[in-house]
Amino acid sequence: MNSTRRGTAYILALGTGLLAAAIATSALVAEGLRGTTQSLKESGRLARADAIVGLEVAGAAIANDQLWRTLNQPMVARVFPHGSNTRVWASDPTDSMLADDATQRFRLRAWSTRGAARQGIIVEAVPDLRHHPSMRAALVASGAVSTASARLFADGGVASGSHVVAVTSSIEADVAAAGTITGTTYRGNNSASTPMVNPPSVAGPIALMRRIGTAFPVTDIPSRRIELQVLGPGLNPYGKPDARGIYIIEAGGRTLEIRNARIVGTLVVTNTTGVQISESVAMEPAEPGMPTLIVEGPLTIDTSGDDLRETLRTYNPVGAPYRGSADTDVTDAFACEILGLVHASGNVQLSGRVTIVGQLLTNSSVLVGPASLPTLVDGVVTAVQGTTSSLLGGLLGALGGSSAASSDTIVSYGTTVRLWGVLGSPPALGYRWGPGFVIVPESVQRTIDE
Amino acid sequence: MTLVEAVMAVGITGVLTVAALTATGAAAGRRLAEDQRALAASLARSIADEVASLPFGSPDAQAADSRGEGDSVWSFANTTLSPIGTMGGSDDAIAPAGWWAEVEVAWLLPGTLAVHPTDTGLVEIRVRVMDSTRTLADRRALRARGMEGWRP
Repeated sequence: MNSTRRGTAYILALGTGLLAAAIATSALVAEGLRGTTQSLKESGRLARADAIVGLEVAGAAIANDQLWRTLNQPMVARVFPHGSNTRVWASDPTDSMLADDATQRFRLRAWSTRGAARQGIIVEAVPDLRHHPSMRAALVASGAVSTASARLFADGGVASGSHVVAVTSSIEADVAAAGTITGTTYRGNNSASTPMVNPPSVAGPIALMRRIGTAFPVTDIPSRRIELQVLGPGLNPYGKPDARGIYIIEAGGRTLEIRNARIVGTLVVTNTTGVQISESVAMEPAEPGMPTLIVEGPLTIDTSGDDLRETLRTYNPVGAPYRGSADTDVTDAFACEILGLVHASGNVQLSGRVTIVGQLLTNSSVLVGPASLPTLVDGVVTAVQGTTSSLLGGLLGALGGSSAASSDTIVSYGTTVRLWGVLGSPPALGYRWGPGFVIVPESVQRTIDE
Repeated sequence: MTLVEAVMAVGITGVLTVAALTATGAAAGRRLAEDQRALAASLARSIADEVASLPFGSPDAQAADSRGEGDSVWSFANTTLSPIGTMGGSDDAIAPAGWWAEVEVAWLLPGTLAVHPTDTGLVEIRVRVMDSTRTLADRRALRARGMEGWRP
């Protein structure tokens, strides 16, 4: 009897213990399963968040690099937030070629993995290429704009971050200035004391051009003078040709002359004490959306306005066609004009008969008139070199002096700056503003959700 | 059954029962802590996403803006949300009493994601949900200029 009771007690004790152990084990297993499920869900959420991070980083990378598409970089971001692996690829859904057309829609595809969780997000964006906010006029100067005995026609207007002074001139343009607008004769609307946005530094555009162009020292050019030559895509008489016609001439503190020459492409002259363009020239970018001339230093354009004529060599060979025509004869004539964007960091002097069909920017001052005219900096006379009394009188009148300016103008020098490509074409590389794209919200897709 | 055997049986049963109760209690406690962390993480994520969905703006523009919060991501730079409410303007608390959220906004370099003192076109929105003793959740969201209105 005692043995039976003892056995029953053992069984009861062991049973209770087993039951308690089973309860505890079940609770732990259930908690573990719950934890695993929670962890997987959290991994999925984090992977999705990582994909979003990747897209934001890609958006910033694209906005900060105007060359991303030109250089055909399909992977635009690779980040490892919180230990995950996230990559973002760009593609062109229109023709699969990112680099061929900056105005085509592009697609960003982010893919993120974290542990067993994978998440993908696709968005599409429409390019939104805007000009730098300073580029609202045909002629834009951070410093003063001065004209003397000149006719200045600018259909997109003249903008100065300082003063505008006209001396016996005809300004056939709307004029806006942060300071005063004085002198005669203005034939458009004047807006003095207007807040202005100065042009960007040349440093940014030059840095971009260095990444995609061909550089050579100015000493490779005989007499540092580009004359009776044509530069263009695949055409460089002074060194290695550049397929896109982007040439960076390292002046090393020296000057460069350009005359009786044709340039099809983008010419960048760095660290120069002066670039002088004279006689007849024909310059244009090799492709839309590229600047024509960037000068790190002062620029003088003193062209005759006469057509550039072929004499000893053709100026429109294969690689540099003129209005679609390329040949080997030496009988052609080319309009003496500069098409596209011209930007100089130093003072710009325009004399002779200059035609720029595009935009002219300077981070300094502009003087339109003969080279012997007074030099103005911020509207103040700093030097007078061989001026005639009438010009000096007009200048004093413009600056509020006692001499009266003539009521009409003596037009000896004509400069025309026509806006070109500003409204219809993409802004030039290096001069774009803002992120450069707009996301299409309805294009957002989640591709994996685990 | 002797007295010793009876005591041993009761002891074993007691120990096992206590162990089981301790385990289930610990699991329940852990679950409560995890639930709190999950809630804190969810709050931090919601706040970070909500700030990131605002217009990009600029710190300068925000400093000159007297309208207060809600204008751009910079509206929430160095702010404390206490109590943690919805950011649409309601003050209704959606977190336990004693919790608050700290929001920081900083420029990041896109290449390295390192903090940078000037405009890089990319900002990090960092949200920490805290109580009086510790940080319950720390979440970050990124926002690039131009990436408007796409967040899923």
